[in-house]
Amino acid sequence: MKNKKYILRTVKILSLLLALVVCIGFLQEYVLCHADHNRERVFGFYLEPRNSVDVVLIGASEVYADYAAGYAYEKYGYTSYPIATQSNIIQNYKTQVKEAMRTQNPKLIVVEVNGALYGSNENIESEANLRNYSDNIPFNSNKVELVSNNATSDRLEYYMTISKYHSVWKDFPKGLGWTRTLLQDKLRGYTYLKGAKSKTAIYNTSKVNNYNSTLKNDNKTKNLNPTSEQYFREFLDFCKSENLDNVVFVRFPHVVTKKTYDRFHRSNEIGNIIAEYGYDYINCEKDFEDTGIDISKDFYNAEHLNAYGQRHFTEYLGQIIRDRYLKADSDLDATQKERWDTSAKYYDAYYKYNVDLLESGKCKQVSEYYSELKEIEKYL
Amino acid sequence: MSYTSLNFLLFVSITVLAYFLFPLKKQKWTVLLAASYVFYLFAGYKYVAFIVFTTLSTFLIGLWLEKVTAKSKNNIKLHKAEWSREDKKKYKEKIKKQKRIILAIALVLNFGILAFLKYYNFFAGSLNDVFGSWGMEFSAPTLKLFLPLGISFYTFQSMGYIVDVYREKTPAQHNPFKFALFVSFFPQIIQGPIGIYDDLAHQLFEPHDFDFTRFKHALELILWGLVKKMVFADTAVIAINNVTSDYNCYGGTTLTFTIILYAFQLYADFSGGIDISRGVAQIFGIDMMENFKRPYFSKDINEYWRRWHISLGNWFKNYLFYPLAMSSLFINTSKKIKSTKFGSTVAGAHIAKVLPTSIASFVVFFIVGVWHGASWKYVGFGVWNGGIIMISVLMKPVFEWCHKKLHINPKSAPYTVFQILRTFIVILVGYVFDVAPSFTQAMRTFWLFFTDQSISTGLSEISTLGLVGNQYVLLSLGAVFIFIISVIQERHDKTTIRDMLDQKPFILRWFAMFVGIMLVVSLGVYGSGFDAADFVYMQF
Repeated sequence: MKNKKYILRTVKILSLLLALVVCIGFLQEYVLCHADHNRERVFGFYLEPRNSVDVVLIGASEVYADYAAGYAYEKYGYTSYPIATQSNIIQNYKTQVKEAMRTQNPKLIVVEVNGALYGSNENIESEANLRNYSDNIPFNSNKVELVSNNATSDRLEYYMTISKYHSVWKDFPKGLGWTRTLLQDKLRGYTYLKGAKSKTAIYNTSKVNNYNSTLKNDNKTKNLNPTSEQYFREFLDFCKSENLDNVVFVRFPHVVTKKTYDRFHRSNEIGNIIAEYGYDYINCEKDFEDTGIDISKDFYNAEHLNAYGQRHFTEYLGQIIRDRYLKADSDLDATQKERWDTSAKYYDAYYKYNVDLLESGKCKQVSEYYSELKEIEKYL
Repeated sequence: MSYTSLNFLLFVSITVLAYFLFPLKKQKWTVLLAASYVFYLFAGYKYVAFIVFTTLSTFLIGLWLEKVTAKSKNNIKLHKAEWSREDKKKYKEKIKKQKRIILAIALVLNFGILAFLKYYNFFAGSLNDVFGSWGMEFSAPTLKLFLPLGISFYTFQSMGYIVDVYREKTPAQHNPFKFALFVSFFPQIIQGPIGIYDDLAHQLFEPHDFDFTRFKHALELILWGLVKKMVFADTAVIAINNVTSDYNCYGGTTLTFTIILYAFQLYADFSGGIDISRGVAQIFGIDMMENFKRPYFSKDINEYWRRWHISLGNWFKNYLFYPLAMSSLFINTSKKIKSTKFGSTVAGAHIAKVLPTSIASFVVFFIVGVWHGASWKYVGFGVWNGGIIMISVLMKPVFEWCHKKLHINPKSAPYTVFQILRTFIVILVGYVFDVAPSFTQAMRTFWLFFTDQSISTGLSEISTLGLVGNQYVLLSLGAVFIFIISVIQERHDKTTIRDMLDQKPFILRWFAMFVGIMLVVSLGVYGSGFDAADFVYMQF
């Protein structure tokens, strides 16, 4: 009798605990924690079926602003996904590669080197830059390693993100926008735009003294920030130790001005470091003229391309990937093929929507956010 | 280590396991002692010296007092036959004097440290102001002083003990470690309640076995405390902090709103914190006294102070009010008034009767005010409360006469509501001294209450206080919810809400617990998205 009472009590307690874990997990994943396009992009990566992504791109905001996976698939027939977050830092790269290898079997890993080019420690040590990525990946040994090596505050907060920023409810019902977006993705089982994001503005380069046309033969170098270099070399050592020979390093195009000229020289220096390890390095700032980018209308600011530029650059980089690194077409089953075909259609609609906004002069952030997606769907 | 931190949750969990799994049943209290000192060390190692000093000095003086008492009793017994009544009286007087000196040593030492740390800079600053205004070149140095965690609470508690030993109400504790536990018991060290040795000590030292119902009730109490503290109080304090950090920028309407919000925040914060303390203690089988009994339902200010921070009120009543009111000075004054011509009138007789208690009340509240902080505004707070109590006692016959003349039934429901509202307004006036950054600003606030009321300005200012619409909705719902719970508690004073919940079906009980946890997790103020707030009484 007494035993029965204890068993019943244990069952009740366990039920309550289970209900709490499920509910808190749901709230943390979808409702209460800070969510934005970074979260949706990383979340979307884990929705991709195992071993279905041919090319993984790693880097910061230029990766998702300059490259559209849906268009690359449409044009060259390979599947790709950007594991890219805003102001992504070099410390995240190793985990990003490890997570890519854990969930996919990519034929190529494209590493945009911006994360190692920051001049000051401010960006490198920024908790936000770390958490833009670390908060959005599932709990596993890779996450533990990332947090252990880089956490700047209480580590527990990195694992229980709800214990950090959980104030989204203050903006309800508006704040539920990302919840809706994430749930839509989850229910659908994949993202349409594969993390692509753009802004419908045209950067007026005529008012800026840019050096882009003279960079081809500019081989001057400048040392990297010592902390960045240390992390970057650690990353290269990791790639070597893991025998990752399917890695290519790329510098995406930017408008190089007086302000960012030093960074360009650092990007030259990074090419030398990469060469020491025997990896390929494509510096699109030096090869700017080959990219097909029209500097007068393809940027929305000095750092990022708009939809015109994104299309041009995807064509350029996609061609290189297809010609140099991918020998065969993607091996997709019917369902996956259908999904990627749909993504290509959504990319086309997204592009048309962007162009309309660009032509009408309306400046907007365009991503897979649910209300934006509704607008995009009008162009399908 | 804040009571609302994950570290505290972990700390309590480990202590609970260690306590109930400790193999030496009679020595279980040592686990609590060790935990209390670990908890105290978390606050900073430099604080420990102060609590150790208070513990040791009080412990030794307690033994000394007991020894003197025992020796005197023995002497009286020995000389029973040879001493005359007069001799005995003289000897008793001598011993009383001796004990008083010993007691004074304890009080001066311990209250001296508290007063020095808390008030030295206030007095030095005031002195400098006075001399400065006279054009004299005198400058008392100000010092960088820190206030050890919970110093007021453990000082009051241990001084209560020493007075009880002096009064022979309680025997002195002979085990220094047990006494150390009484002084430092971690659930109450931050903000009370201030325990009475006779009530608390035996509970601390007795071994307690694990009891599921008690454990469940304790968790429910902790959860209710967390909801009040983290969800309601810490949300409200964001707006209050914004006002106090820029006090001059706000008009009368916003300040009125802030004072009302402060009344809600202070109650939710302080009673929430006490619920957590009591809940944690209850897990170990220790029942600490209730510190709040729906104070805003009080019908007069005297009743309010019997319902608000009850343990502090009891302390002042037992160790300051009674000694003052019963002192020969006060009794003789009363007798003198009685013997005058005025004393033979109705008013004179009343004044002679209540004057000792009303003056004693005034003194007590003056000290309570000063205890709240080293600033003239707290002196104002004490004078306001003490003054109101003094007037209400002295004017009682006048009020009764008014009731009679106006045919008011003081026990009728509408009059009760009027009394509650009237008392609440009196309390709010007192809170102005608390919220305003200085005494002058408090006076300015009163002026603005009457001269600067504008709903449109108020609304636009309130919208800039750092809270968004949803948070104001949350606070409003919180106020309604706490009000409903308070009404239920008021109607069933002997039964707790937890007892009532026990009568409900399992699903309902666990759903309530589930909702509470989800409220804290979802809406609680913690983490970097919010400004975490310390318990209001932590540094008192």
